[in-house]
Amino acid sequence: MSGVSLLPPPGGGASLNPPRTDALDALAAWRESVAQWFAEHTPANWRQRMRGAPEEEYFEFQRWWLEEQREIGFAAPHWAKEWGGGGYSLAEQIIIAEEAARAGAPRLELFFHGLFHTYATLLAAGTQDQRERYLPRVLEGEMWCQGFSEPNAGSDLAALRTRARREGESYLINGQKVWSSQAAHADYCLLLARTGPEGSGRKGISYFILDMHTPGLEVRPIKQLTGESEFCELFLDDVEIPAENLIGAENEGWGIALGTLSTERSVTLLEMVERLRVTVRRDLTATIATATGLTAAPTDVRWQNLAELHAETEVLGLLSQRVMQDLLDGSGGGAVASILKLYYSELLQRVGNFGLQVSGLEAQLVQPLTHGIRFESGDWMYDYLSAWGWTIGGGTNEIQRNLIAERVLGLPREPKVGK
Amino acid sequence: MALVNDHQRDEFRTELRSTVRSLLDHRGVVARVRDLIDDGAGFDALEAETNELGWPSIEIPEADGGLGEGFAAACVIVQELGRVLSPLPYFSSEVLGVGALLWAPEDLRQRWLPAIGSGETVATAALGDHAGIPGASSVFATQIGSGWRLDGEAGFVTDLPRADLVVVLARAQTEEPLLVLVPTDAVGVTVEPQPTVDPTRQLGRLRLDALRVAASEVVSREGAAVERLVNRAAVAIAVDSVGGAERVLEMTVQYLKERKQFGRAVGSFQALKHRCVDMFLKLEAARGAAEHAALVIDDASQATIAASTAKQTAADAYAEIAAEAIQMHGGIGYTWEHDLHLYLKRAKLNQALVGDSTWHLARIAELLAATLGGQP
Repeated sequence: MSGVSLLPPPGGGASLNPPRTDALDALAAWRESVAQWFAEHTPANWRQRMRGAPEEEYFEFQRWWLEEQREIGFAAPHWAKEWGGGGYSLAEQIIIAEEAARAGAPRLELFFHGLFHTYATLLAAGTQDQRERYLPRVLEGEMWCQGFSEPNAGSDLAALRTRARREGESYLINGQKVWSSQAAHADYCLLLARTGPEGSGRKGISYFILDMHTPGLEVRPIKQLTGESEFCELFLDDVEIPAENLIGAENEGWGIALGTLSTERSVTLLEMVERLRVTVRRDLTATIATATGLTAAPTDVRWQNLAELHAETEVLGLLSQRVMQDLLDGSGGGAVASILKLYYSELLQRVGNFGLQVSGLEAQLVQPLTHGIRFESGDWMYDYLSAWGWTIGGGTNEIQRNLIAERVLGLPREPKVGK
Repeated sequence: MALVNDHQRDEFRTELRSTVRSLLDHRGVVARVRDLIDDGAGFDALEAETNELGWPSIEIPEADGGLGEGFAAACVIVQELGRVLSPLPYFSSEVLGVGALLWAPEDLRQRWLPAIGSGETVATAALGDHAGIPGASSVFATQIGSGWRLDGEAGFVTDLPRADLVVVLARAQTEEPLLVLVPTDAVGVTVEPQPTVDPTRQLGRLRLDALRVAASEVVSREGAAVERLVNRAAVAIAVDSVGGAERVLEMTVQYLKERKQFGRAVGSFQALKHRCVDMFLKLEAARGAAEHAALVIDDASQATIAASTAKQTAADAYAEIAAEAIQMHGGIGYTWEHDLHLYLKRAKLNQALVGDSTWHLARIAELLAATLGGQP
């Protein structure tokens, strides 16, 4: 900066703390006890322990963390008490997510589908018998996966072709699924298959519970660009599913599947946002400090880029507060979550890219994988590569942009290609 | 602070926005900005009307004859004025002038606040050096008896050509800052207009030559007072940018819905839709940052980071959105006749005013480095 500044040296904090809502303010004291719980229970060295650890050790660790959190209800804060969950209000769930993020606690990655999708789906559309049979075991550590996408049905999911044919008291399933995360270790799968005629689109899809140990099912892991195999392909050859495993009515699976991408998932996104804020404030700032030796001027391009990413991350924090407020008011629409997902995922990618860029050749070296800490491992190459999981997964960002353009801005839909 | 009041304030601001917007729409401000360029026709009637409504007095306490609202309410007006490219001296007189005097010694408040609040006096502030860098002054103050002698200049001072009163940031020999009130008609004061490509703001250079001011004219000698004023200015430019960017995006979406090529509305093409969504995301980020900064302006622990975040985010967003809008309007967007270039020009000036993005990012970087216990 030219000239001598007459401004005092900057004081105060480096983060934006928006005024909180009534609901969250009333819980300020409780928040402290949650923070304290995480401070006391998060193993201080878990990242080091999971760095290069064998997969089995990671699974063991995840099961331990599930149990540890189960007693206080943090494993499934959004589950009703009658199902063994925390029975926490939405405001309380938000606080738990934020404090877990700030404490750098591990996420319950392996149990995500069970805790979120299985619960929401069975509660919304399952029978009492299905709930009683499956839900308690999710909290015991049974793992679930999802069989939605197919090689020719990704963004256009309603084009899925895996068939389910009724044979007496069973359905026989034939087809192929892809991008099923954790399928190699899962006990059950939430499966979408076509029961209606070919070309029946959204109206001919049914929703099933598939036991992953059924004969005729073959699971092949897909190695991702990070070197991990989080996802799998499923090959289904006359796989038999008992009719009692149908969720909801036949041909009504589409509505159920969409409806259960629920509020609770937005809380997960809020948690990721909070984790990214910590990453930028702490890890990225430390990386820049190391790279510049703290000698560069604040106009050095590296500090400038850091400051810009910091500004963006803090603004993301403000946007997520707004989403949270909408959720608390019960007015959270799908479009708002799309906005947050777009903003978060692309910022995550830029943060990873910048961390990689300023870390020089050092960051090009092969590092042992740290389990359970995707996106914020501090291994910038790995975090950078992982970030496509967010820009492509959960509905690609291009699909999200279509959605916002049409539903929020009111731009016309693309004309349908005639058949 | 009780949250109930917060909600009441929220509601008040929502009502204020709709009143202000409806008035400005009825007066056709954007169309008249063109008359301003063509024949210099003024905005006297609109200015008188808004003064009558008490806009410049919005932050002045009720006891002093004002409306007693906060900075966030003033920002509602600033945003709506930005939306219509207003040339009114509101930013200068209210955000800077009233902003400087609200914390001034009692006699200065008594003397000036009612006059500025009624619009009778137009005030501004010179918070930068000859290049307009905030907080860096090239006006030197020499103590003479109990008063001061001021020499030097300050550039790019908003609304200076028509201002009656300037709050000048000067530097004493001890390097301490000094905020002093200077009437523009005083002997030793020269005002030189600096016409900008953006026709909606009037900038000027202030020269002070052996100007004598009494000690009673000193508003503050605290660095924190300068910082507060710079923060207010930065947030107001951010908020003005949100107003303009919002209007530009509306115009663009509207145009893409109406304009038909290849037998369909061009807005149905994904290539354009996606760019609109990117503009929308930038706008929402800018809005979030600016609204937040306006609300925490008096909280010293977060005002600076919030103000710099808002200024950088919103001014850059405005410029990027306006630039995209011109491209997406095609040929018509390249014409003098269309309003878009007026928005682009104001956006580009907003980016440069009150510290550019490099300046604000450096400020954020210093704060971040401080959290590590070092200096960048």
